[in-house]
Amino acid sequence: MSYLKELGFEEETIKNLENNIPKLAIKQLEENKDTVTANINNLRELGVTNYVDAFVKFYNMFLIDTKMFDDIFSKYDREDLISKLEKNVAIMEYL
Amino acid sequence: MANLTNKTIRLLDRLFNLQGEDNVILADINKRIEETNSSIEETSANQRDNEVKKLDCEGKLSVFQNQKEVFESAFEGLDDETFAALRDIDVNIEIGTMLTQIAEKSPAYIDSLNSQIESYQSEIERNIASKEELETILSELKSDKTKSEEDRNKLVSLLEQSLSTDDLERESLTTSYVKKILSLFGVFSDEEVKELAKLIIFPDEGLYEYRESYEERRANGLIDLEAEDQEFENDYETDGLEAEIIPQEEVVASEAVKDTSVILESTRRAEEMYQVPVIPPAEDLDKTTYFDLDRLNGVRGELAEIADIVPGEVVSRDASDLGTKEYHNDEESVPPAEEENQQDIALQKSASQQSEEETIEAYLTSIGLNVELFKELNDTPIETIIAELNSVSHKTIEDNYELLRSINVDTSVPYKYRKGHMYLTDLDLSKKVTLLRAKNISEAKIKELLEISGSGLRENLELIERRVQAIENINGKLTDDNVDDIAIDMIRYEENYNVLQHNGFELEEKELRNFNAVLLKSPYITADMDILKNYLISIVRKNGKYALSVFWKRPSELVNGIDDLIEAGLEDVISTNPEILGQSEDAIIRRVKFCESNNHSVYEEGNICDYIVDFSKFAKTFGTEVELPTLQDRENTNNNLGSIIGNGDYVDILTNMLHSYYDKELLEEVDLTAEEKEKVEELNQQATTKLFANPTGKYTYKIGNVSISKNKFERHLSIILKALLNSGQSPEGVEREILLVSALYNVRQDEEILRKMVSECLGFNNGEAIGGMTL
Repeated sequence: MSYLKELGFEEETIKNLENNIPKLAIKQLEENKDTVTANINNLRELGVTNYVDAFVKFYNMFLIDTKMFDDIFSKYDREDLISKLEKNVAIMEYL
Repeated sequence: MANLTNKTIRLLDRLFNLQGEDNVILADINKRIEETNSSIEETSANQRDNEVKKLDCEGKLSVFQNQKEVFESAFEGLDDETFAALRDIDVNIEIGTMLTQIAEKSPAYIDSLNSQIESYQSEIERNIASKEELETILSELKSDKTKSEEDRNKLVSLLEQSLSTDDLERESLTTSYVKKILSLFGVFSDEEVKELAKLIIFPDEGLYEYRESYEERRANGLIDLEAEDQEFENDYETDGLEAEIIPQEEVVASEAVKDTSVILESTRRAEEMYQVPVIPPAEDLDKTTYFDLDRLNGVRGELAEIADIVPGEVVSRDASDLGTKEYHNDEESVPPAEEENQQDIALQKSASQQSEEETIEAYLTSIGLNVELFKELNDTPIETIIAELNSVSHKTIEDNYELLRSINVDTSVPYKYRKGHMYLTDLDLSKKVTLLRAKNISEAKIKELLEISGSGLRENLELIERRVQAIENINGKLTDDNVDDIAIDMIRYEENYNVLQHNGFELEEKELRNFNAVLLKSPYITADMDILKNYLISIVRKNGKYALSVFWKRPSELVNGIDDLIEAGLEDVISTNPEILGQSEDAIIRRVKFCESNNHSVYEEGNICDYIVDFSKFAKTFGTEVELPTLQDRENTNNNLGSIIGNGDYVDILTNMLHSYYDKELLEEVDLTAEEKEKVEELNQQATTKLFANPTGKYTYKIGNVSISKNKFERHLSIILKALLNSGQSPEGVEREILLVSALYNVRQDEEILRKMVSECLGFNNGEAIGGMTL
């Protein structure tokens, strides 16, 4: 998952991810690099600063179709969303 | 509902009505759809009626003109005196007068018929225009309905979130989002949106209470939305907000209905201006079809001509003009090489095959297909393609070709034979396209799907329907953006979804959305589910959501993970934080060991610390450079069991039995007979009497200081016993080895600790421990 480095992930975080999540999940994240990258960039462009935490905790969500992923976040007011996610990234699965 | 005023209760009645499938908006749209549909039917009936009348007039005119012409040409140049002699026998034929009368009266009669034809024609055009207008209204209504259903789903989800018992789920709501959802309906004023948003964000200020009473109030008929509208109107008048009380939807609705009725009324009025229809003779009605039949007869004639070519006769074709084949019998015109080639082919093929090919080729050419392109665009032998084309009726080919052309697909598409499929011979092509259109997939996207070889449209209709259903399950609806997924094998998704449902998982829409990759891709859900059931482990997290990441794990990975956690003394954490099963158990145990050896808490107030279960929190708390202790490699333990337990050769045999079991991709249930089960139970009893195994939890035996997974122990006993009995060997006399191998296989403890544990198994005497039985 070295491509995550280009998306602002530290090497240690990537290593931690690889050591902590099931192999098949890692394979999916690698095989669907384009989708994952687009979804991460979507959050970055929105201004979500803790997108790395969001990914680490909810990596499954980053495998969602990019349009659908965009729909999840675009329904919220941008400022509200950023502030809620920064306050507690755990809300992500409820969005 | 002490805290809520009557006005607020009525407002909530309206809100809760909107989350119902039969809410006021949808009910209104459904009514309007029904009305528009019946208007379309009525207009279509009028159109058909006018067409019949017009056809009748045209028939009359044609017959009249024909007879007039015959009469005039037969008696041309004759006058009243031409048959004067016949008066002598009282036959008075005044041809001149008759010709004059025909000449005088015909124009008016013809004009009258032409005028009627014109009137009917303009009426038909009006009918068509009305129908088009109604169909536009219908299409808009259907689109409104789709949108309203989507809005309703959003509201349902919003209220579920608001009324959730999970604090975090409620906290994830933002005022702006709530207001946005409420505003979708266009039925609430700004003040009402504000009031409702407050109640939704803070449900304990009355929403919980209202929800509890809603069904009962509804059942008791206490909710009367129409009466309330009236009351509301009064309320708003007082507040000076009357302009807001008529929902935009209603205004649009009444206008739409009015539109429909205006169209119908004008149709009706126009209708009354014309004469009562004359039932046309059957042959007149058939006239319209004569042209088509003639055209088809022409085609058939051409085909018959082509079919006249004797089988085996050389059919030459101009390679540079593939679209317009020429058929002739002139063998001289065939180049020698081609002739030889054709002779070879002729030798290889039976006469009937060749005849079949020629017939279908001729037919394909006749409908405008270029037979050469079937060869050029496919690697498949032409014989296979011809056989495929011959397997369906000409009508199927013609209809499909017409459909493909009407969608304006690339001209190569009809020729392509891919994965044993051709659109030309697809008996369900029309149904597939209809299905996509019914789901509002754009024409451009349908065209694109037909043009992409791997789009999934080549699959059978039933499979496509199931995949569409699966996409709708995942995404809510089929759209241009996700319709490409019909190419993805959704069977696994469906199977996985069914397994989860069958096991009582009640997955919410958002869980399905968040974990759709697991459902789509994991081949392990069925086997993993069996393991969880076997251990009686629930994967419902504290927030009520499922820890579906567990299903990314291979069954052996999951089983070993559960056993490792149990044997690391963390069985309670599996119950309280089942999400750890979706992580690497190694990493969790290492974090625990790190904390234990560095005097950091593992538990706080009875709960496992967040940094143990969440590796990112661990990194934040202790830094990323922390060196975690390594765990004993299970393979090492397994390989050294002979030395640890003693009686090495026999222990190795037992160990190999367990190796074979875990080497499999999907772990199998050990199927024991009643007698074998009894024997396993007997051995299991010895765990306490001979190993001094002490049950210390739901899943754990403690032998000395070593924790052993009970399930693992029993599983190993079953595997070993089954293998021994299958090979005709008795467990008698080797119970010690069987019990210890079953307990210690896969254990991740230091060898020293294990040796100590074995030496403390005082239930077995020393002789058994040292020598024991051998095979």
